[in-house]
Amino acid sequence: MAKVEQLLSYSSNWLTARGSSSGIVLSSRVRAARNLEGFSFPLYCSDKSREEIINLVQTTVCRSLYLKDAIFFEVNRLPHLDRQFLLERHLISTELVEEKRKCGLFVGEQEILGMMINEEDHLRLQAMSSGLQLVETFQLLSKLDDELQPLLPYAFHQEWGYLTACPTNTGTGLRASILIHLPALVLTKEIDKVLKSIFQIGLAVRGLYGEGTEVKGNFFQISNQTTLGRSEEELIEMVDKVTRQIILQEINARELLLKEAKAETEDKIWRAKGILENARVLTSEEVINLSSAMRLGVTMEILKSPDIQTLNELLIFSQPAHLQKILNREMQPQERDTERAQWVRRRLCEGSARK
Amino acid sequence: MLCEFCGEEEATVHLTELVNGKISEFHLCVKCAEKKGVQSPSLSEPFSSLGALLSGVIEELALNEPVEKGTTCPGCGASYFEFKKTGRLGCPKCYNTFQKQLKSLLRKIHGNTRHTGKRPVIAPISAVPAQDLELEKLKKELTKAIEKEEFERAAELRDKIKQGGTKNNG
Repeated sequence: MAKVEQLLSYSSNWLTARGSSSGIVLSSRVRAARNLEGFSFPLYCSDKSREEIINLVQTTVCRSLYLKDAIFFEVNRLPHLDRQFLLERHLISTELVEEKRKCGLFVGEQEILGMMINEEDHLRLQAMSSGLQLVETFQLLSKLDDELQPLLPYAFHQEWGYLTACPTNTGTGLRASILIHLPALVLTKEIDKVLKSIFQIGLAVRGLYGEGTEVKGNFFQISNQTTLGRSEEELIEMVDKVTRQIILQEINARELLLKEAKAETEDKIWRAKGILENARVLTSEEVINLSSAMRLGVTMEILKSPDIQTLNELLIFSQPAHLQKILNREMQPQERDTERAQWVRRRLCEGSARK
Repeated sequence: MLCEFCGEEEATVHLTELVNGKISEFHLCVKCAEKKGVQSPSLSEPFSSLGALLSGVIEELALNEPVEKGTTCPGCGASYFEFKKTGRLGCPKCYNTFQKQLKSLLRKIHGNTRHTGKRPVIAPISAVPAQDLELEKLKKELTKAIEKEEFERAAELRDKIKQGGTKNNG
């Protein structure tokens, strides 16, 4: 069986900071929920059916161009640490981390395309890319969907569209989301107003790891709330437009910070740099918060280094499961915090060199 | 989308809440949200705690849908009661079995019940005549054209809809 360590040899495409506005928008992600006619939804599925579904999808994927070389993980057979690693990488959901029954994951080249099997729905197709590129990301996802569709009996209702286990996903089954960094709106206390207007448009705001997670390091996940009635293109356009507006507001807030609180802002940023480059013990929460301040510094050109990719990697790779996989041993939290500090110092050193 | 609570005002407050490991989403109008004590989210208040006061909403909502006692889905054996408990349907056939209840629920959640997006190339046998779908699409375009004040386009669409209408009647 494939090993999660295989994913360590390169950086996920969405971490590369090559997309537009990637200083502010970390990633664009689009997922589609699909189910198969003739089977109960995974929650009610027998073990035998769950296995049949996996086999059916595997056969189909073998004939797919987009996922031909994908790595397949039997997620239910992976140890908890490996699953946590996949979660930190945004490849599986919290539900799959705990799932004991048969479930799987396909990971395509550079982690741009992926697919969970037997999560809440039979199939959860995912496309993820760097910066703000929702339209392109959706197009890619749609191509994979088109490729699989003739081979799989998708459950589809003429009036209601794609049928899903939860009626909140019925219709397009589409969730378009972006991960956005809004420190200046938080510092200027404008964020409440912005979030309120996002809610009013009918979009949802969540934390770094999606549904039910907390907001950390000023990272917000914004996505469409409804899936039925609007076409995929309309949903994508809505999230894209709102994102562009928020970016402008964040940029304005940054200008305001420079004008009204230059010294305090610079101090916050330089202190964060000082701690990350010198601390001997660091929790993952500290890394998230301090790298958030450094990110603000780099995008405001107060700091010259590191580059955004290094900061993206810092955010994901310094988390507990990643750290243990990178250092190739299981560690208790206390030991992790020491190793983390050392790892972060080294990465920042390399990051400066790269720049 | 209409408020899930009063069903009268436009729902503008959307909440996602994790209750006992299950994800629930709520859509309320400003008045009902205020009545339920929901504040606009702030950083001091993590999102996960926001809807705590509302955990009963979806159950209450689903309970309002009358369903014949003892009806179970021939596809998976699930009852509507089970759906209310888990928030998850049993199988694709549940959508036919509980059609009436789900239609009203889908409207409350999405503010709409007609899929206008992608379709599989080979679709199952149509429940709605293709002509009706076409007509629905034209009507939507017409509304958009009017909103954008593209009156020439609107007139064109109106005529098309009329033609479709006569065909239907004839």
